[in-house]
Amino acid sequence: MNIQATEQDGITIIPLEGRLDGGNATVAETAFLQLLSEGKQRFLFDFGNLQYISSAGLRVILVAAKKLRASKGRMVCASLTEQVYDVFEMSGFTTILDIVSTKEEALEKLQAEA
Amino acid sequence: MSDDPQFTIARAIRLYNRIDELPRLNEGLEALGADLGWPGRSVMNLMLACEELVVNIVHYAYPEGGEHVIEVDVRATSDSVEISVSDGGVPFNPLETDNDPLSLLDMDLEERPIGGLGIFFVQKIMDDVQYEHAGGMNRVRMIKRF
Repeated sequence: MNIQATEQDGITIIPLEGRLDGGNATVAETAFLQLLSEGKQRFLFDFGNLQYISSAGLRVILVAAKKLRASKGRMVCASLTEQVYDVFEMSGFTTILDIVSTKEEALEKLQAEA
Repeated sequence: MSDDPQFTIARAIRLYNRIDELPRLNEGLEALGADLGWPGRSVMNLMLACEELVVNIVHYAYPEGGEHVIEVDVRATSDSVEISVSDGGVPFNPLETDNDPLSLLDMDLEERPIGGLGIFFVQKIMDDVQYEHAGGMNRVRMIKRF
């Protein structure tokens, strides 16, 4: 996965595409940690083009959530596709993470708390 | 799909114990799903169950390193699929996990351990999952009925 993060009104948008699995989870984790080390604190994870996630991919999302909780940052997950939502639900992630159905909703949420 | 309820399709997917073999696993399952007319979501569920087992084997089965084969054998009938995943690494029963995966579900973000979900997914997705160690091989056999 080639992650091209973008910035919008101080919010860092991370688009996830294709698969987030044991083969590329570390790439995504490294990309997130790099942005965090640059001082980014508000993240939108855009799952709109992600078709598949496994426990290795979930691990990255949990690492991000924990790091941001510790640094008093914030993250919102948007536009989960069917398999991804099911895996989040099986894991209990739907109750511990902030999940919204559209990217616009996520941006509004993150901006409101700025 | 065949009208004969007795038909069986058997296919072996042989992988090396490297993480970059995952695409081959997925291609193998996709091809089988296309041949049998399985819905895309069913194929994804089988991919998830197989990935979790294969990734565990890649990371933990061969601490001494080296190239080894992981055997993924699929037997499909019109209404069920049986998959066995075998390796010749250190004897390890993945179904005997230390923590109760269900207890993870209600944990707060802060106290939640990172990891420990893979085998839980396998058990949740498949109808029957069994482990045996025989002839120097670890083998997880799992069945899904459609």
